[in-house]
Order: sequence, then structure tokens, then C-alpha cells
Amino acid sequence: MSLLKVDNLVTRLRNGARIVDDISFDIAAGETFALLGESGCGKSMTALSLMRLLPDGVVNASGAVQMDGVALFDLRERDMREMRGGRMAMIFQEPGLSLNPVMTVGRQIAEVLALHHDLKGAAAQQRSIELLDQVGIPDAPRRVREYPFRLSGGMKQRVMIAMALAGSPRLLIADEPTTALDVTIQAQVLQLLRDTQSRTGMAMLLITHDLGVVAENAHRVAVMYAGQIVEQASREQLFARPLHPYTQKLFAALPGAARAGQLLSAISGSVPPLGSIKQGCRFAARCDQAWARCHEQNPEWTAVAEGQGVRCHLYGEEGGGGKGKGGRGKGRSGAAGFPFSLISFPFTLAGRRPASALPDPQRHPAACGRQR
Amino acid sequence: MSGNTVSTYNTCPMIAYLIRRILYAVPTLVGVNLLTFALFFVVNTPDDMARMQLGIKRVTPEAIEKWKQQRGYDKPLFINSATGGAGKLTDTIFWQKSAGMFVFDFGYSDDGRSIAREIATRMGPSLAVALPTFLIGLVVYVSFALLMTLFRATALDMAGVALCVLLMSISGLFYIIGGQFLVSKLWHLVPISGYAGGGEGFKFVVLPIVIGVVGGIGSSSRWYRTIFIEEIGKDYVRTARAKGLSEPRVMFTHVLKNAMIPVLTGVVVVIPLLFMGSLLTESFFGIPGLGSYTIDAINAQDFSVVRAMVFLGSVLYIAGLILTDVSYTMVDPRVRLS
Amino acid sequence: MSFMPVMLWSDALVFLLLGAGGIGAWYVRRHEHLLLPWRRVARSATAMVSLLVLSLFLIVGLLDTLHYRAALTGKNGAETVYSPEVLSVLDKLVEPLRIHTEKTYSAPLALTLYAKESMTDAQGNILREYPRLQYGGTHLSGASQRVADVVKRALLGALAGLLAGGLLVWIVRRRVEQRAVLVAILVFAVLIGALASLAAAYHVLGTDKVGQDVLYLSLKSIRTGLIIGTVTTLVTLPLALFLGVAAGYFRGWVDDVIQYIYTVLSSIPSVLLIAAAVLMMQVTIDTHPEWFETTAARADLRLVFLCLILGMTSWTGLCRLLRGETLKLREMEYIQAAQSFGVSSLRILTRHIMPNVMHIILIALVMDFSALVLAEAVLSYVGVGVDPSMISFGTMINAARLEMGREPMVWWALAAAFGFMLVLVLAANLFADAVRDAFDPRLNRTGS
Repeated sequence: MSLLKVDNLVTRLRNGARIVDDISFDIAAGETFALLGESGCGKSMTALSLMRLLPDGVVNASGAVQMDGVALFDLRERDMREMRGGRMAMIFQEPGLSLNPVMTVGRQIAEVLALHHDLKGAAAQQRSIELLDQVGIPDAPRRVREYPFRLSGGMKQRVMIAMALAGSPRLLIADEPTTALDVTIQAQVLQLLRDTQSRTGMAMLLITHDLGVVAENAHRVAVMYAGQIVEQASREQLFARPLHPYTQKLFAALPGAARAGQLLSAISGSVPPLGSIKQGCRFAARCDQAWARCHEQNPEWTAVAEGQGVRCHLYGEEGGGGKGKGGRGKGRSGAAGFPFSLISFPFTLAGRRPASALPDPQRHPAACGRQR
Repeated sequence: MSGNTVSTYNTCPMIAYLIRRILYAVPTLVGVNLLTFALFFVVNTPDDMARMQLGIKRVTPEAIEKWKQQRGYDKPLFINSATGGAGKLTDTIFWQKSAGMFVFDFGYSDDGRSIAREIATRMGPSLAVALPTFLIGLVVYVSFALLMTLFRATALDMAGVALCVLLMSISGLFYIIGGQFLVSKLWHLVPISGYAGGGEGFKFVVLPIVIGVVGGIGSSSRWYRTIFIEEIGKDYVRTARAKGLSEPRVMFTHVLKNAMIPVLTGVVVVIPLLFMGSLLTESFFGIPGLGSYTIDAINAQDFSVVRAMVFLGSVLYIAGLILTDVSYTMVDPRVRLS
Repeated sequence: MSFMPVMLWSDALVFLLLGAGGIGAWYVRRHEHLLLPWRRVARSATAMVSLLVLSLFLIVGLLDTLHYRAALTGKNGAETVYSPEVLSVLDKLVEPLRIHTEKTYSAPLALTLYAKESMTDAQGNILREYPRLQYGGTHLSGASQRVADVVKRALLGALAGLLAGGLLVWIVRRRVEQRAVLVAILVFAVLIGALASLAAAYHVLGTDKVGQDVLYLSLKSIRTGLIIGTVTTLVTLPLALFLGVAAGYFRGWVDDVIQYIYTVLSSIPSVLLIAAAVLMMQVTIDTHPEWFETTAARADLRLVFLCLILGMTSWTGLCRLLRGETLKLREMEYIQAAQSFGVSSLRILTRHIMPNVMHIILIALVMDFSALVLAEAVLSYVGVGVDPSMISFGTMINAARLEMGREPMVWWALAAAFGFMLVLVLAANLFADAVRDAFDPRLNRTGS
């Protein structure tokens, strides 16, 4: 039973251009689902659509989102507010900008407690300190009275996580939670997220552009390109056998020990401007393997293996032109077969991560939630 | 704090800060004085001014001398080589006319009255109009701007902005003349002009206040709206919404407090200047405040009064700047006076 | 020659501004990236309609800027003597309005003066009657025909305007993107047509105390307003640009000195500073009557000085903005890179810093324009504005205000001054908004 179920979500600008174009996925409780893509591909807008917090001028056009069996798009705004911060919480890319600068850390956490747990006064204060303690902030009783500007970037992100946890959410949406942080801090924050997840059993939608983050944290991955999910697979499948040419190129662009001394391969061309492609595959212009059909016909979703699907004509025939929606893998492939040692790869695109800072998610079996 | 300044410095950064800021203000005020002095006495010689004041026809050298002597303009401008010692600097027009200002001794106007006393008595009426205008205006403008911000990007907001642009395109003179005509002549509600102290005064100040508030709606509300809209686009607002807070609560507990920082920059600085009153309103409504005093002085070409008002205005402006900095510490925890 | 061209100081400055604007436009046209924000402006219908209104005002103002002195007839000597009166092309174009002065007040489109006078009729009886106007509606025999005649003339004029406007619309239809602009052209053509047709026979907006046509006064006021709003920038701009950028770029003592100067200037309430400066200028002008050949020259110099004074008192805000922006820019990597390559300061300033602060300057200038036009009226009212002999919105309001107490009220001069001012300032404000929206990099433009 999935906790979050997204069906054919379309989000567009008022002028009609589609930012998020017909995407579907689902997340089970205790699972980490990564949405991978470069900036501007629509992954943050997907997250904001789920929260119904789209900026002015952007609207949810169609599709459905079910959270715990509740259809979010059918809720009245005031019922949706109960969901936000309560059952689904969100943390953002820039912890420095995402906290209110003129409010103490404690009050910002207490706001959530008052709203979703009816905790006020000393009880709320006590709980705030506990939460800060849980996210690893030293000297929490003192920090709770401080303003965000006194905290470092990593500390601020910890506060954001504490604030998100304050509502005891079932789903945490983390929008590039480590992008703005130093590399060592990134690892700590990701570790914290994993620990928290294993403790609370919440689901996590992890939005990132960093294959390294995916490798360490995600159970399943969806790769987004120009507003569409082009490939969806379990982490093991994706790293063992990326199917979509775009995913393959992403991997090829990684620096690695095996390729030391060679030039990094970049993906030529650039992302097509919003709404500029009316027909054909959106990646066709940058794809080495594209042929005439790619430019003419929009590829359908093709389920290739258990839990793995791709939006590409290359796999159209052999998959029997499968019209299955969203490739929501019904059965999960065995997690054991992890073909090569991912962990030894410095997986951030920048390639600066020290190997020792990479904890193995396999060491946290509860976090993986894969005991089937 | 008399004998123990050192420990005061250590224990109270606010007072140390204020003392330093006040000391910094001195060179600025000297600059202001030099500037007005240059404007009034170097661009035109005292002889020119005497000729102006006395009228072209009956100008004799003796009359000019007498005029200058009466007003103390018969000395050299900056350096008096005729006297020795400190008199070299002090027995000059610049020293005589400027030094007193720093202790608020403004000398006498052309009709022989003490400017300082005049200022003291006229501050009351000025304040009686300017302060309520300021306070009511603040509430009205901010509420209107909040309303537009809450309904941003809807027809209501659009209409509000359009109204603001229209209102700010209308000359301030029109508000005064039109308001005077409507309320006083057409509806016979309150007197057109005049002033009285105490409770009597209410009926005289109500119209100038209303007109003052209405006249500022366009530009001020739009300015506040711009600030609010800019603030509402920031990331922490999204965080607040993601917590599940309702839009009004987001506005009032999060946005408003942050928006105070830019708002204070523009608002606090004018508070001391309220003492000066408003030139236009006061002269139109016959309110015997500092604004009408200034206008009368301008029309009568009474340079001592104009210089005194310029100096007073600068002092109040600098006080406003200091007040602004102090007020930041109250709304922005990141600001520390040092 | 029957006339002698006269170049007043303000005229020269206007032509200088026009020249600078022309060069600027030419430069922008050749650079696609500079043209881009202007294209955004051009896409906004409000902006283009405002621009249309502004250009109408500008045409009137420019016609009023071409000055000359007519030769006096009747002199048969070798030397032509020119009239001391300085006229403009506009004066010549609307000559009937200028010379058809009545005795005193008359209401818009009236046939008679506003006040009764004693008259002797054919029988020698003394009557209290409203005397007929000398020029307004003289072709009519009585008041009963007035309404019909006014309607007829207005309709005829509107029709002519419609035809002319229609022709214009047909000519420009392919070059204009917005329908609103075409509609506006038609509307204005109709209005102007009706107005012109009526003005030929009536005082459309009435006459003032000395019988001058209010429409004529309003048209003359436009130039004063435009000059105050634009020539002032000739002072503001170089001061703010050079001092602001220098303070931000060089820092150190340069910054200290410049900051001191603008702190001193901005700490004086601007109205007072303006008042003090204008007072002094007045003394100078009054004590040197020999400097001026004509009264127009004197009033004109006072206008130029007023612009100078307004400029001197209003550059500080822009200067502070530019200093802040330059401080930010000089920390940018590309500037630091240029510095480390040994590029000269002058080159960095002109090639890297100035182009990047231009949008601030442009926004500030268009925003200031309307404020200055409004300020002129207030200052003239206070008595520190333009010369009392110069026709401006402020002097019009000032003169008309005194008549508010009359019964029935003399409202038309006030209404005309406020009305023209409102249209001008509103158009300027709307245009300024569009410019700001198009140039401000802080506004994100998704989807454009």
C-alpha cells in the first residue's frame, strides 16, 4: 500500500506552458524516493504541487495526488493546511533563506507544535528543545532562544528538519536539502535524514540533482527531464543498467577513478525552453541514438523490467509498446544484487566527496524498509 | 552617569552609540551651516540684500549701512583682520550668525522677534496637525497595502494599484483645494481655516488631517504594497505556509514583522520632522505652525528665519536617522549598535 | 527677414537633451541586448498608450520651444527692429487663442462675461447686464443658439478628427502591435478635432482674470512642466552618476568626501533648500536687471536656474543608490578578474560598471519626471517656483485659487490646470511603471 500516489500530474504556467507534464509515481511508507534531474526540469514544482504551494502564476492543471488515501486536490484549503506541516512536511534548498530571520528558532518550531499538536507554552518549549536535540543541535536549551542568523548553514538545515519533524509527518519532502551546504555538512545532514527516517518510519521524497545523494539515500529513483519522468527504477536497477539515453549520459558525465586522466563527457546542447517541443521526444535533439521517429512521436511509457520503466522509443518494441502508466513497480526486485561497489565512486558531480564521508545505506536496514 | 563615563560606555552600548552618532552629526551640521551661509551671504553680498529689502528707489549708502548694522551684517564674512585674537574669527558674520544655532539660539527675525521663542510656540500647532496625519496615515496606508497584498494578483489588487497610480498622479494642491471646497464650502461642516488651542482646535485640524491622509494614499500604499509583495516572495514565507499556517497568519506573524525593516527606513526618519509641520497644509489652512512660519519668511525674504528653519530641519533629520538606527535594533535581531 | 530666431537658455538645454536622447536611441537600436527591455516596454499596451499621450505633450512642448522675435512693421530704415516680445511657433499656430483676450473672466464656451456690468442701451437707460464677449461666440446672435452651435461644431470637428485619425491608424496599423494604441489614436484625434473646431469660435476652457484664454495658458504650461521634469535630469544625472560610481568604486577618502557632501545636502529638507536657493537666485536676478534683454529671457533664466537648483537638491538619492550598486558590482568576479588583468580603472568604470547601473538611472529618471512636474506646481504656489510672468501649472493654480471664494465659483482655470497636469503625470507614471517592470532585474519574468 503506497502512502503517496501521484497520478498524471500536470502543472503549468498561467500562459499554458507545462512545467510538470503528466508524471506519476508512488512512495511507500518508510521508503525514500528520489526525483533526480537538472535544475529547471520541474522537480521542485512537482514538490510544491504536492504541497499545493505553487507560486503565483503557476497552477495545478490536472492529475490527482492521494496522500494516505486522501485526494489532496479535492481538499478545501483549510483541510489542506492540516495536511501541510502535519502529515506532510517540507524542507528547502536554502536553509539560510528558509527560516524567518526575525523569529527565534524556538518560536518557529513552536508554531508547528501549536498548529498540529495543540502544544503551547512550556510544553511546546520543552518539545522544541527535544526536537533540536534529536536533530543533533548541541546545547539545545540555549539555541532554542536564538535567532537563525546565529546558526551555521548546516545548523539551520537541522533546525528546518526539526521544524518539519515537529508535526510528526508521514511524508517528508526534501527539496535539494544539501545543495547549499558544504560537502562535509552535506553528509551529516543526509545521515541525519536517514537516521530520522529509520526512527520514525516516514516516507521521503528526496529531490536532488546529485547522483551521489541518490546512491546513498534513495530506494527508488525517477529521472526527470524537461518536465517529464523519463526513467523510473530501483536504485540498484538504475545504477546497474540505466536505460534512458539521458540517464546513461548522466552516468557518463561522472568523474570516476576508472576514467582518471580522461576528459569528462558533457551532454551536448541544452534543455529545450519550456513548451518549445510540441511533438517527439524532448531529449531527441541531444540524443546520440535518436532516429526519425524520436523527432515525430512522443514516446510512451514502457515498463522494461519489474519496477523499471522508461520513456524512450528504444525500448518501445521489446517492451511490447506497454502503455502501463507510470511504471509503478508492483513487485520490487531483490535488493541484494548490487553489482558493483557504488560506494567507492565519488558520486557527486563535482567529485570532491571524500569516500570516508559516504555511509552505506545498507548499514541501516530499517531505513531501507526492504525486508520483503 | 556623571562621574563614571567609562563604565557607562562599557555597560550601555546604546548610550555610547548615541554619543558617537551625535558627535558625528556635528561636522554635517557645520556643513549645512556653511552651505546656507554661502547661499545667503556669498552668492549675494549683504549690500545686495539690503538693496533688495529697502527697495530699489530709496537706496542711499547710508541706508544700506544702517540696515546692515541693525542686523549685524556690517562685519567681514569669515575673517576679521581688524581685530586680534579670537575676535579674528568670532567677530565675523559667519561666526555671529552660525555659532548660536548649535545651542538653538537663532537670533531675531526681521520684525525683531526672537526666532527661538517663535519656534517654541509654533511647534504645538504644527504637531497638532502633523502627528495625527502621520499616525492615521500609517494605519490607513498599511491596512490598504495589506489588503492589496492578501488579494494579490486578483482583480481587487489590480484595481487597488490602478487607484493608487491615479491618486498619486493628482497634485497635492488639488487635494487641499478640492477638500477645502467640498467640506467647508459645499457641506459647511468645518471652518476653512484658522486654529485654536485645546478642544476647540479639533474642528480646525480635522480637515487638514483628513486631506493630509487622503493625499498620501496613492504613493504610500503603493510603496508599502511593493515592500509586502517583495517580502512575500521570500523563501521563509514558503516555509511558513508549508507549516500549515493560514494566509492571514503568514501575513501578520511572518511577513509584517520582516517588512518592518524596510518600512522603518522610510518612516522613522520623518518622525522628528513632524515638528516642522507641512508648508502647504499650514499655509492653506491658516494654522500658525512652523510650516506657515517658513512660508511667510520665504515670502518676506527673511533670511534669518529661513536659515534657522534649514538648520532646525537638518537637526531633526539627523535625529530621525539616529532614531531609525535605534529602531532597527527593536525589529531586527541581526542589528546590534556598535 | 521678418523674424529673428531666438535661442533661450532653456531651448538650448532642451535641444541638448533631444540630441542626447537621439544618440541614446540610435545606440540602443544597434545593440540587441539593450533593445530587449524596450521590446518588453513596447509589448505593454498601457505603456504605449501612455507614450502616445506623452508624445502629444512633447509635440506641444517642442513647438513651444522654437522661439523667435517678429520684425516690427512700419520701420523703413536700413535696420529692422524686432519686437521685444519673444514668441514661439506654438504661439503662432494658436495665435487666435493668444490674442483674443477678453476683459476678464468668462466661463467655458460662454457668450458673455462672468460678471454683470452697467451698460447704456439704445434708449439711454442704464442696465445691469452680462456684457457679450469680444471674441467668444460672436457669430451667434443670442444664447438660445449656443447649445446647437456647440454641438454642431463639436461634431464637425470630431468627424474631421476621426478622418484624420483613421488615416493615421491606417498608415501605422502594421507597425503597431496593440489594438489599444490604435483606439487611443482615434480617440485623441476625435478629441483634438472637436477641441480645435470649438476653439476657433469659443473660449473652450473659459478665460482668466485678465481675459486670457485658459486653453492657451494650459498649452503654454506644458512646456514649463516638461522642462522642469527633463532638464533637471541634466544636472542630476552627471552628478549622481560620477559621484556615486566614484564613491562606490574608489572607496577610501573619495567615498568619505562624497558621502559627506550628500549627507549634508540630503539632511536639509529639500523644500527648504530649494526655497533658500531660489530666494538667493531671485535676489541676484533682481539686482542685475541689466543682464536680460527681454522679460522672457529673464523668466527663462529663472526657469533654468530652478532646474539647476532642483537638480542640485535631488541627485543625492540616486547617488546613494548608484554607490551601493557599484560597491556590490566591484566585488563581482568579472570585475575582480578585470582588475587582476590590469585593466585600467577608467576602462572598468566605463565598460563594466556604468552599463550595469544604467537601468537604475533610467528607472530613477522616469520615476522622477512626474514628481518634478508635481513639485513645480507646489513650488510655484509657495512662491519659490518659476517666474510669476511665466505661464505654468503652478502659476495658473496660484492665480485661480484666489477666486475660489467667488459666487458663482470660477472653477475652470483650476480644473484646466489640474486636468492637464493629471493627464501628463498619469501618463508619465504609467510609462515609468512599464519601464521599471521591463528593466528591473529583480522582477523575475517567468514565461517571457
